[in-house]
Amino acid sequence: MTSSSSNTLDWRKTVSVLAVVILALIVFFIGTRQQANTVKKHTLNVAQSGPSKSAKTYTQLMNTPHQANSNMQNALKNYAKRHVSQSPKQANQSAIPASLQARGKRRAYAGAPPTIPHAVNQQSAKNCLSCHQNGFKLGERVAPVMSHDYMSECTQCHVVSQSPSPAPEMGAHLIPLANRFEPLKEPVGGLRAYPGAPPVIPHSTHMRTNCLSCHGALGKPGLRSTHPERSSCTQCHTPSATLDQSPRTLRTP
Amino acid sequence: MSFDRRTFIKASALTAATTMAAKLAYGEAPNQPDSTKASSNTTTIDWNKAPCRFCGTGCHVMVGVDKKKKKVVAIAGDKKAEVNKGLCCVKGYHVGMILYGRDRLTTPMLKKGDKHVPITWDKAIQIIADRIEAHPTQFAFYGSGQWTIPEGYAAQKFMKGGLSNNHIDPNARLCMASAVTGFVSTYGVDEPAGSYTDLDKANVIILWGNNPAEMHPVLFSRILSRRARGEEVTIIDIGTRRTRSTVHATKFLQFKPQSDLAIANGIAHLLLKNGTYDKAFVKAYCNFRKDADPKKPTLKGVKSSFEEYKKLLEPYTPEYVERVSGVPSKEIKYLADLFGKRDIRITSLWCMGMNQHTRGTDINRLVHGIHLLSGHFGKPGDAPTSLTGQPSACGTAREVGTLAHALPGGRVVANQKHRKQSEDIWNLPHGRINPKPGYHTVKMWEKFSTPSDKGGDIKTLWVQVTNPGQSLPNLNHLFFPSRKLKDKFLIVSDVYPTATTKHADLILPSALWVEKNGVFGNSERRTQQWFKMVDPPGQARDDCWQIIAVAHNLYKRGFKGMMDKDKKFLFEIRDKNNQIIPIWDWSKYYTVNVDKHLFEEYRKFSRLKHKDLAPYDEYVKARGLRWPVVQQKDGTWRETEFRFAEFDDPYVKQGKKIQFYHSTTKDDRAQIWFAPYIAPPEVPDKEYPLWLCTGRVLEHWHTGTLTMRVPQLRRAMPQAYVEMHPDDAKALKVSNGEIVVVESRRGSLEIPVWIDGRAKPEKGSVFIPFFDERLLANLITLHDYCPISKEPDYKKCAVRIKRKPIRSKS
Repeated sequence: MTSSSSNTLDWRKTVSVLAVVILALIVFFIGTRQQANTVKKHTLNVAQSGPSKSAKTYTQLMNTPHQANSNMQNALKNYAKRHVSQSPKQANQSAIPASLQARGKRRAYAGAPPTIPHAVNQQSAKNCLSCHQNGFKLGERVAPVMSHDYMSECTQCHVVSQSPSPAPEMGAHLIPLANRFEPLKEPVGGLRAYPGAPPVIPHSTHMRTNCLSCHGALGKPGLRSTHPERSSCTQCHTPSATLDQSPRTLRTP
Repeated sequence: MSFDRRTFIKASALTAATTMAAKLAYGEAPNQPDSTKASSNTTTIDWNKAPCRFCGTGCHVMVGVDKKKKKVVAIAGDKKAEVNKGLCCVKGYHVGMILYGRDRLTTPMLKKGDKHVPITWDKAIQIIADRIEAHPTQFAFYGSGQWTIPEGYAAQKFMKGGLSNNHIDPNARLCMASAVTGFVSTYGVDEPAGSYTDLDKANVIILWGNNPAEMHPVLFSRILSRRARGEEVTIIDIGTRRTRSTVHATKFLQFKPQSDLAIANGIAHLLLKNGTYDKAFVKAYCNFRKDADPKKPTLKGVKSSFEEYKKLLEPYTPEYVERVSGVPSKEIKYLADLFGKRDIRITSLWCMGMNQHTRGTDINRLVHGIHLLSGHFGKPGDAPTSLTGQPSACGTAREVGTLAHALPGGRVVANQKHRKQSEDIWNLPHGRINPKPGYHTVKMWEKFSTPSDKGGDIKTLWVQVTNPGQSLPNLNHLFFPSRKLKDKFLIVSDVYPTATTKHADLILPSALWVEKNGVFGNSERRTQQWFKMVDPPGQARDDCWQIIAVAHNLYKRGFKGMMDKDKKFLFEIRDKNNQIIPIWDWSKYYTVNVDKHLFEEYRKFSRLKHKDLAPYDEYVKARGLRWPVVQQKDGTWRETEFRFAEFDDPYVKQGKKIQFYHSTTKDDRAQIWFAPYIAPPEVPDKEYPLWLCTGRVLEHWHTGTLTMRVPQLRRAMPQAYVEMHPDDAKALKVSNGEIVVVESRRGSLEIPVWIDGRAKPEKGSVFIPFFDERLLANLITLHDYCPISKEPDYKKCAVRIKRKPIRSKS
């Protein structure tokens, strides 16, 4: 690091100022880091189903924050550490299975709209965009960016993953919840024409027009792009023809 | 000092960026994934088209079937489908999972004592045939708008052609019968003139007691996406409850239940008073009509005149309408001003709010009436459009005519010509079809629940693809009594145990959706075809096969009705070598496309009312086609987006512009009806002070038989609830989540309270969704119905709510 513009000042002075600044910064960052590590694991209040609760007034209800349900990862231990988006230097292969599994948990099959891991306003989807338009990361909590074009009625396709009902389900055993559906699994890696060639996209691109939603800085480990600065993804990565979900041949009777 | 903080930050940032860039440029090549394993699971999938199994919107989905497992493993919105353009709702995305609930019915079962024991298919078919043979006229068939077109057609032919018995009705009677009578009495022919294209063109969309955000989500998104593109669309929600649709509405007009009649009349009143009605349109294309006695209304009514119409509307001043409906007079004026404008396009949408109404036919007539009076008809975006709740309410119930009074293709049993045409197509001796209409749904179940010696002349009832033990109104009156009568026999074909199978004498396991071939007809006259993709589980078999197997069993016994006039079996299909294919034998059923044969025969019925259908193979290629589908000179088939309008409908004569070619007055004119406001049969009083409305939610489809078994949908909405206004809850000292007792004069139900849940009912009214078989909303509802359409009113009755008595802990 240089400071060539400081002609009028003694270079020794510059170096000493610099040294002091760097030292101060190092101490500061160590400090914040230690502080971060000592922050206890926070758990949000998980909406409990249970016996009846007293009715809330409209004002109280309006002020109720969106609580997480038990499908939300609540470890906010890094709450104090500001998230700096960083793309991985190289694809984190070992993290892929866990990331795909995590994706699969929120989807009925690969390509299904994900369910919502937190409570939502049951009457209006108007405030979904305040977090999911640009997305953010706070600790381990990620609000992913929409992967598709703007549509205003979010809850048409995305539903909560845990009961919004204020009462526990009565007679749950009377209708079996278990389903023998065997889902299409999340694909692993795209085919390459030759070693080093850019892989083709291993999944359908329908309703997935914003690649950075999953492959950007907020993406899961292993799925993040190593080169997010190249924003025209389909210039090198082509959608696979076998995945266009069109019938190859329509049977004729 | 020039080496300030700013310089330092700049310098650091530059260094960091340079370092990162260098690493990106010269860093190690990323590890190569094993390309042989890559995405191997996705190349084993066969994708094929099918219409969604749920509502009447008629979205197409792509169904992904694993070639090895031979099971549905994924669903995608069909990009090539005009209806949904690649989008689905949450039910549609999870439709594949309805096939795989743990408790699918897989074997026929007969009730012995209070248990159901497995029996063979042969035995089951024999039991049904025995009962029919013993009393062919005391047998009734209750189906639905989920019957595919070939299934409904087979049932129709079996009953009316085979048994000379007209006691066949669909659950669609509970759903869109009032829409049918509204269309028929206005235009002389059923079903909307417009199409979903109207939703893309309208400037104003009026929701008449309708919540498309939850019930027809894909259509509602189609409207909202126009706003996202920057178009201005005014949405007016005329409702009794604030819903997810209200959130997007430009205006919400809250009205008192039943007063929609007064609102429509108030609009017409002002159009006439202000002279803003479309004089040219009315003069050229409309007649006036009314009921001679509004207390005894009929489908045809009597002739009226413009002067009389004007006079009858005189009392409906904005002030009077405000008193009746609670909608401020200035809003009535606002609505009338909108209809008075010639330069905007208005589309009205409605579904159960207007149809499930003791004056259902009247309110349908009135809404058509204000569109005709104001000329908001026949141009893209100007349309009165009713929506349906079932995938083939239009295709099967309305077009095939599986109703107690109807024959295929818009014919009726009471018409001698229509009977003869049907007998000719079916090759039956003349006189085979009974001219007397059969029992409509409410009557059918009343007769089934009445002892045989007291006039209950329905002894055996076969239910297919519906769940009346949950969906009939006033279950204590219509459903349960029959279950205590020993000589009444209930047969139920279904895919899962339901509130109906629980009480059935004989249960037949059915194939579902893509486990069979099928054809549906959606809300916009679109006929949609799909092929079987997977096998049904266990011994589950097609509903259509079940009908044919019973028919053949009777034929074998020499039952004359199952023979045509040449003594051939009613459902005979021959192969290329003119050999009969034994389709009644399940192992041979799929050696031929039975659907195609039935459809080609049914197609002959479609010309009379200009609802022309194309050959089966045309539907194989298309994502549905809207009738009339007419062959062009070059041999191609062209569908019709807008009926009665010269620019699109091939049946409108040149130069006519608008032609109602099935006019009931035979002069190419539509009828503008007058109908008065008539109070509902039951209104809240001191004893039962609250209004009850029942209905649906986004996640569940009707009685929840299918959707309650999809974990994603069940978790998002696990059980029914009673939705209350906070003030009402406060007055009763009831808290959120508390179990309360909801009582009407007909029954009671213990159910949890949800305040400020999915929607907001107005003060003095409560709402219960009917999807939950454990919390039956229809224990409380009434079975009063529209005198013309015979459709019951599920939307309004009087109830009271009590806190549950605290039991002593003894």
